[in-house]
Amino acid sequence: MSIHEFDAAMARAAGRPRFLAGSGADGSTPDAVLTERLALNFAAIEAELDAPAPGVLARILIRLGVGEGTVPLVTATPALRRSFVVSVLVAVLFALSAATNNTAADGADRIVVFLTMAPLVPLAGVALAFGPKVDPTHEVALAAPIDGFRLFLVRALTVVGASTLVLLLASLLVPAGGAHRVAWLLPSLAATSITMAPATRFDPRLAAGGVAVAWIAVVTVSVVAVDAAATFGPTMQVLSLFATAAGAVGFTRRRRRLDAISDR
Amino acid sequence: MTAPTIALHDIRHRYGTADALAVDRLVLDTGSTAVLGPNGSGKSTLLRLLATVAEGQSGTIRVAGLDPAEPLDRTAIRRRLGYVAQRDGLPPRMRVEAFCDYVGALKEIDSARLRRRWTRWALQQVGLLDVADERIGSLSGGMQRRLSIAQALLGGPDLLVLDEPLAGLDAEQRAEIGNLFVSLSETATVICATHHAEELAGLCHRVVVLDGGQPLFVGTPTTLAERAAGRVWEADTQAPDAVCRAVGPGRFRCVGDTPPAGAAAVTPTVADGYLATVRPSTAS
Repeated sequence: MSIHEFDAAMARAAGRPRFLAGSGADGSTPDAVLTERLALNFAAIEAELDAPAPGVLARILIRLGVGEGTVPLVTATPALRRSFVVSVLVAVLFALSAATNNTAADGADRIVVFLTMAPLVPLAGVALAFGPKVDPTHEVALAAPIDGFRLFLVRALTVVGASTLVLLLASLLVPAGGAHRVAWLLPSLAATSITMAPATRFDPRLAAGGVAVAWIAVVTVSVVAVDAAATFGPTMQVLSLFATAAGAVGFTRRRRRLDAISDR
Repeated sequence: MTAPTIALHDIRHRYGTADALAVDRLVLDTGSTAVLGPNGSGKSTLLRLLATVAEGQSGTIRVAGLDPAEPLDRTAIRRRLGYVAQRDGLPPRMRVEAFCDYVGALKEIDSARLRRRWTRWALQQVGLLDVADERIGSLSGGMQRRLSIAQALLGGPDLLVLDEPLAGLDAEQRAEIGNLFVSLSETATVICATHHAEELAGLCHRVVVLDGGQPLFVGTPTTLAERAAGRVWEADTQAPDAVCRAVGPGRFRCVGDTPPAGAAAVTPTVADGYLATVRPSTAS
């Protein structure tokens, strides 16, 4: 929408006659029109002068090249902020838990717990980023022309990106394990990706809960049947990669559901 | 672009086993339409279908010839739509201007500068410009309702679907929103569900009365008022078979069949016509 379209739409929406946008019958511009245009111009200037400075996050996003139309979707979503805070708190707790461990035997256990629980952090964030039960603006968003797929994706990527960054920092605090400390990364993407397809149809919290239970069950069985190191080894990483791809395909194929359904 | 006309055919919508809406044919032309009805009569269901936030279960809906069931058509409708839901759905921790900025982004107004201009215009329309920096949670219920209306105005939609826009507003605010409503309906198709028969329905080009999910009346406010002709009176006592409301100390205005002794017949209003419609004469 251009500024000219804005002015025309504003005049229309305010119930003003359309002649305000043009000249009089004799080719001259009526005083009332000039006064009205002047008022609109002053209002525009005033709006610019009074414009609040964008927040820190908004400025960072703009610097990173995020579009002006996308920035508010990232910064101004209460569900996103809440889930982000939850993600950060949980991640820090894990980091502290791992960092305070001293014995080698305990260290192995701590890493298993860390690797098992870390993928659940972004999962929880995604569960709280979208849906009528957690987002008070859900119905407003649904009635808007924005692509629901894009909105979900923007929120999910923001939550996953932010929580992954914090979890990576937390991984550095884990005292043992070497490269094994980041073995949660692909399972984390897989869990999030698998959650997103059913979240197009069901409450995202339900979908995330189901995936979380399944993930914990798989890890528990694997650790008991094989061992901790093998559980998060190459096989798990490759399977996670496939699961991520499958989840992404499923989510994309169901994208239209995000625009159509509100009674989930 | 002219404001859209809306047509519904054979609409049946159920929640569980109960019929929420059963409309054989309903055409809402440009201008303003008030949807009146008791609680649970299907008003919100009708509005949610028109606002494309609920899926139709059967029948056809056309908004400006577009089918909300088709994804591309649905998006095209949403580009022309401003919607106020029954419940405000406002994030309490967000600031007023930031919320409008967010809704502007949802409405595909990509330029931040343009969103700011729309935001200020919309807030000015509902008298909230002075509280643009406040947190939504700190606003009164009436202010929050007006903010809901402001977000619907962003982008200058030519189809406005408003569910109980006057809920929680005081008398002065209702009058102001009523004036805005009249102004908007000159250039847009405005549909609102309301319990304010006089203050809002009386301002509309047409009124639809729903009960049990079915339209009992479609016509002008004047015609609706005429339906109560001869059945409205004021008296010092309430009649048992009439719907009465107090209009002063010891004085009642009643709509019914049998006026008590000493009752004085009065000219019916839109509210009387509504009551006469949802509570038809036992004699007829």
